[in-house]
Amino acid sequence: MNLDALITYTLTSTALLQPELLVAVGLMLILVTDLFLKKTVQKWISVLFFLVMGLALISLSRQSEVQAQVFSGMISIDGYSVFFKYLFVVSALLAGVMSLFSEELNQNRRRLGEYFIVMTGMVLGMMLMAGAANLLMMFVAIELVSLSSYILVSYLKDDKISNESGVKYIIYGSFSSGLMIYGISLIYGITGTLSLSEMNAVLQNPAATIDPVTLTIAVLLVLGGLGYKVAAAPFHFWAPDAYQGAPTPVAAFLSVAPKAAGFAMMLRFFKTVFFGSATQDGYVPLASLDWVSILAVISVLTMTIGNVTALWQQNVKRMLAYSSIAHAGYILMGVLLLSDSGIAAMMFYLAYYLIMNLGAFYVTMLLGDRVQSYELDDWRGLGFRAPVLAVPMVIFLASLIGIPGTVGFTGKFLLFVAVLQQGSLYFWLALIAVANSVVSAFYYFKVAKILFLKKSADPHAEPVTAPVPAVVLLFVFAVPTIVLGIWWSPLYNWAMASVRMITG
Amino acid sequence: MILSALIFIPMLAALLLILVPKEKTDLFRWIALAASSIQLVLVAFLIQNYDQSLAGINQAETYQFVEKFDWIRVSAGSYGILEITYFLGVDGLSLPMLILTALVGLIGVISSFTIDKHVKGYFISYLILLSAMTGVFVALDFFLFYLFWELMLIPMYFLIGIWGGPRREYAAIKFFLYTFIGSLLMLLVIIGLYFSYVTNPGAAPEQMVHSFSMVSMMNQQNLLPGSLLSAEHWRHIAFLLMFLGFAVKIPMFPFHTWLPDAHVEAPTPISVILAGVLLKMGTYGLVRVMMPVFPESWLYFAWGIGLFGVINILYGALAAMGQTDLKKLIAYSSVSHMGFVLLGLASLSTEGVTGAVYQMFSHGLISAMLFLAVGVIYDRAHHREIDGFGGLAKQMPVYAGWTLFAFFASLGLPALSGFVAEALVFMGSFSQPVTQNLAIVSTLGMLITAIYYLWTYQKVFTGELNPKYAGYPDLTGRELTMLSVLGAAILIAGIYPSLLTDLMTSSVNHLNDLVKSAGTASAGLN
Repeated sequence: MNLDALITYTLTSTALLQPELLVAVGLMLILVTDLFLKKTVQKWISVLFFLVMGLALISLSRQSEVQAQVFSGMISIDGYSVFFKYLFVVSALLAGVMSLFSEELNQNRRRLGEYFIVMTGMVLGMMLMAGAANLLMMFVAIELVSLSSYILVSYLKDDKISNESGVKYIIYGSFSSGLMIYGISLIYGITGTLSLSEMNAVLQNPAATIDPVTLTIAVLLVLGGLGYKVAAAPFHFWAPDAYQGAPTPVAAFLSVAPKAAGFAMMLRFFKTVFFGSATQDGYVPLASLDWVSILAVISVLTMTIGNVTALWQQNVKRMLAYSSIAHAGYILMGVLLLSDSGIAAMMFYLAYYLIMNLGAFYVTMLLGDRVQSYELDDWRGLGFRAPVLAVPMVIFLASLIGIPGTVGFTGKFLLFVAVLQQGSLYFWLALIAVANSVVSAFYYFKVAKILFLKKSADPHAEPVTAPVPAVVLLFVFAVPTIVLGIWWSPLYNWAMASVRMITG
Repeated sequence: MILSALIFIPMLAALLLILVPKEKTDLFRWIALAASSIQLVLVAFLIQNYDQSLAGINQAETYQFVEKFDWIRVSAGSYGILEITYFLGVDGLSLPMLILTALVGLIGVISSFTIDKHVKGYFISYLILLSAMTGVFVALDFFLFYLFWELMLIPMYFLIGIWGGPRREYAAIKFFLYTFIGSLLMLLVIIGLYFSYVTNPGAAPEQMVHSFSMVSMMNQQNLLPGSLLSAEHWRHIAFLLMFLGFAVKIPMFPFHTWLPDAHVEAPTPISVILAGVLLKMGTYGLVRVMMPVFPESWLYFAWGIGLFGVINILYGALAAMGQTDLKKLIAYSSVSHMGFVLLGLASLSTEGVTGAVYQMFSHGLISAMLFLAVGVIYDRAHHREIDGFGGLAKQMPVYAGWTLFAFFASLGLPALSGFVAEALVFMGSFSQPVTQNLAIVSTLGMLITAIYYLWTYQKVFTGELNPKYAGYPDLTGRELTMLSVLGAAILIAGIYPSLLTDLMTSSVNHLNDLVKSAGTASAGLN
């Protein structure tokens, strides 16, 4: 390839990556603006952030028709990745607006520029994660997301818990990264390539002699890195500490966006590398490795540990952290099926999880800011003091449990549909998920109980209110939680169409 | 659109209540009263225009007041098309339940006038509950049915949990979790059914429409060969899982333990709704879903179901005899009376099934009346200990009279509705070999019931008046209205049963034939 051709190729590739580029340029722009416009016009930083994200949304709509591999197969652009990129940008937008109403963050308004810079960087990293089709690209993208998260978690510099959780997060994170890069090196050693689709070709070649034990170990190591991102057992230990210490909007963002990115990547990795042709019942596995059982065990462990541990939590943020672990377990059911409907259910669940979980965290933030505590004991009787905030909370909790009429139910319903579509094969998995849902009802409703059934310690406590714009945002979460729970065909069709467009 | 109106008028009223400032407590009461009165009027209109000759059950075209729209229709790739419809309809099984819901719902609103804590939240929850219950009785799409079934949980949780007695939190979460476990198992079976039935058998796989329509699942020619529920043992497993979901609601022994707790803690109007309508959702599920969708499993397990019915009757009655709390006594008597429904359904005879449905209706009225009666004395004395009263008949003669009426209705005095229902169940179950022995044993239940009611009456109302209660006023106009309306309904249903049985005969007969023919069909195969 001569230089001219190389330049042309690079340029075409670049042109196809418009949304990513936009975010990258926006990142630099915010950085520079923050440097020069200090103090005087701080609020413009957030406006700039929303502008960048808004533009990214528009350019994503133009990327959705593209089906290509750019930069020598480093990044795939397909409907599947675009679906996820939408999720990342939308959740960044919502989390950004949430941040504006957060007391914790506004005490540090001086440095709000940094906050949005790091957030933008994280969005860029996640967009790359969704498209990465090469092990190195995967690793770089994961690291970008991780580094940004470390900073965001420990963003409250003066807060001891925030700092502590940041440090814990980094330690777990670096450990997982180490595992993953080791796994990557092993895979490279076995197959001689880093590209996912080439690996698939190597595995499909009957002449290739691949030691299944080494391959299993290598893939388990890679799975360690990915499991860390989605907070799947046994790599979930960071989540409760990180969520508790992080500013609430950050915790909210961490619980949805990087998790979705992790799942996007995990699925692309398994689907591209280990599965040959698609059949009606799913995909034919390559090599004599039983991924499905491994993932099934992880799924069961994750949901059970998450739910059971959540039962004992007294801190709302910690409880939501364990709940998000549990939800990762449910979502893994969709991944391990590797059927079209399973993948669609997974994508669907992630999109819906975004709405309800951001909503739950948002109420938590508003209430937490107002009573200066995230301990459940301090929330007694808050429901009748702040009905405008507490009633939507009940809606989000019902949705997290999976009560029909909410998005959470639709998500779970489609997962169960996907699981039972395989006939009696995974019936046991569905039963375990059912048992878990029941357990989860107990702790989610504990919050409702504290809010409404308990009397507040001070009988003459003042009513609690929030500013009107904050309440409006609350309805931005609460209304779709119900409306999309009742009418969901467009999103499902979109997810289903995106599944068919996964390219290697 | 009349059925949609019936379901959603309470819901719309609830939305309206959100806008009303919370100080205007009277406005909440009157809006709620208006909403449930409209419901009752609509139900009257339904009865007026109902064609008794049409059967419904598995024939979509013989349902009445049908509303059917596509709700969700998405392609699931090679598995065909996933279809959820907004499908409502009424037949002879659902109409009695609608009458019951509207009537008891209205009585419940009137009884709720005494609630003075967080009135706004109370009536919003109550109206949502009313919508959900109505929805369950008219939904013909499983997805919709399940939606209403679960929707009822959240308002009920708060109604018991916020407005209940001392142990309300425990009772509320226990009720919630019991029902939730059952309904999740039900959900799995619903999904299994959905995969196993198509509305257009014989079509190419991509074109097959997997529908959640219950009516389609009641027609066995829609069963997809080779699917999960085409295997007999899986059908039995699915049957049992789903049965569990309904059994919790009935409540069937040994899943009944949530009921006494819920009843004792719930405020009076909620006890009325709970016993009057909510329990019927479980048995309604049996006739609406279990019998027509799994006829061969129903036949297979019929004796077992009858047996559990008899256990319910005897256990409930014995347990009631041992209670010292009036509400608990009535709760256990509910367990006992719901057993008759199980027994009647197990018999699969015209009399038995008619009696079972009649019992659902009759018990709804009687238990509502009983709980109201307990509410009256609880409002005055603030306790419900049977041994703590005595001689009340002297102080409150009108009240004593109506309570005696309710007790007699519950123990099956002829000329009252309970007698009709239980007599039919006895006749039906005795006539069928499968339930004959059970029927004989179950008569003991009636005896025990008579004992504990008469005993209770004696302890509470006769003898010397306890001076503590000397100043108590007799029934107020509001209380008298509620008791006499229910009393009149019980009396009418007792002396002129064909008013109601005419509405359901063709459906009940069709249901019986459907189940029995499935039995002979599968016997022929073997």
